[in-house]
Amino acid sequence: MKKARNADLSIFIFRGNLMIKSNIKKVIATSLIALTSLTFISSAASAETFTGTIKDGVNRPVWYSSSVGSYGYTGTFDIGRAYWNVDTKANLWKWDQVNNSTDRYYIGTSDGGDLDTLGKTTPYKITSTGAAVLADPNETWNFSVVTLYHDAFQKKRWHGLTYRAMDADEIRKTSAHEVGHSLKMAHNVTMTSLDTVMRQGIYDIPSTKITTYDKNEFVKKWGY
Amino acid sequence: MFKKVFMPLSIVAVLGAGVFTYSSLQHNKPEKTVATSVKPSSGMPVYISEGDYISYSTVDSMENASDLVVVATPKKPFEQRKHVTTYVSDPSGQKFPENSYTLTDVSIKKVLSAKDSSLSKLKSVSVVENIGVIKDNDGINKKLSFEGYEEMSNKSDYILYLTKNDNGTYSITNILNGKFDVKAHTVAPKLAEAQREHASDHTQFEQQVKAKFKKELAEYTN
Repeated sequence: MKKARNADLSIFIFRGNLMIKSNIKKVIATSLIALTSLTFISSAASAETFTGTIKDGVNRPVWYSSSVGSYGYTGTFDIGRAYWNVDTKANLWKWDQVNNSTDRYYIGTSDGGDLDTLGKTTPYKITSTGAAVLADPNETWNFSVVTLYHDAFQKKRWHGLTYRAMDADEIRKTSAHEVGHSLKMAHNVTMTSLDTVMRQGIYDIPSTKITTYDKNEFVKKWGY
Repeated sequence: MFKKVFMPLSIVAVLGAGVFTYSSLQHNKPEKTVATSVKPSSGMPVYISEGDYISYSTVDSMENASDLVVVATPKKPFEQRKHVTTYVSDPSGQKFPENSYTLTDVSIKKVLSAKDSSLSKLKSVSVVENIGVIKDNDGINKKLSFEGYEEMSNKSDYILYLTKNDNGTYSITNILNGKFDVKAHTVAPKLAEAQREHASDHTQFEQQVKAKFKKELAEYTN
């Protein structure tokens, strides 16, 4: 009986050890999963902005080419700038000159190219000889050239049941999207939020003021 | 009296209107300058423009938006294709590409799907590829890719989802995710961040497209 009890006890202890081991395994497994998820989320989050920095930071001048006014997009770019300027440390201010820190805004046409491309942003750095040359989005750059495509906006497409060109709020979203690229904001690939202008495609600007999601991403990159 | 007074006035008015219209058109003309064709060479550095484009999240929606789905191969190597780049300038005189793309003539080997039956007889089309060749402000020729798009090789067969443009050329629907190498996995490691961003989507699209047309693609995959 005693033996049996001891045996029971040893089984209990053995089971207990198994349980403890099992619990430890569970804890370790859970921790590993949590750590992995955290790493994934963290890397995914960091993928929402480009690495490197912008010389002279995010308080910077922007120059509107004459194409912006002549095609009637001055207000569109104003809203694109205001989206990021309001409630963040970004201060993109309009200037009638250019230097090595000035972003350049243009309105273009596709010239026989792809009409599904709504806007483009290309970063530039300055060489030792003073030439502005292409930069990689993930390296430190001096300024960006931002282009919106008028004929891509004008092209009629099916939007649900209506066949029409893009409307003003949809074009404003593309403007804010491209201005976002000029501030090293990347695409919202992980789709962790729909509350952002950095998603691809045609939809209304969510708000004329920066959304919580975009503000958080901006702050992660540039601070308060 | 009528002829002496009103005729000259009418002529002046017509001429004035003409001058006004011309000056308005000139005023509205952006500072776009020249379309320059730069001769490409192998090993040119590649740079990327980021941007906003119309994308499709499913293979079905991509196919609905496409006029044509084909198996095709470029007729010529990249260096011998037509490269189109237009530039704009700034007050400092520096030039920046406004558009940079390549027109690639492809031979159609098989039509997998066509919206219009007349399209199913096409033997070749001209495809707009979102990668061009530019002369940068340091005088060096470079490739400029949109979103990390990589050009088709004339040594491979591709499944292409195509949308017809008004000028008769075709664009690749969904840009990076509407073009798939029939044999290989087409996410190129070269174009760092932009490709990584699209890599997961591309793999999913590729698997679904190849599964959908498995029977039709059999003769090209063996």
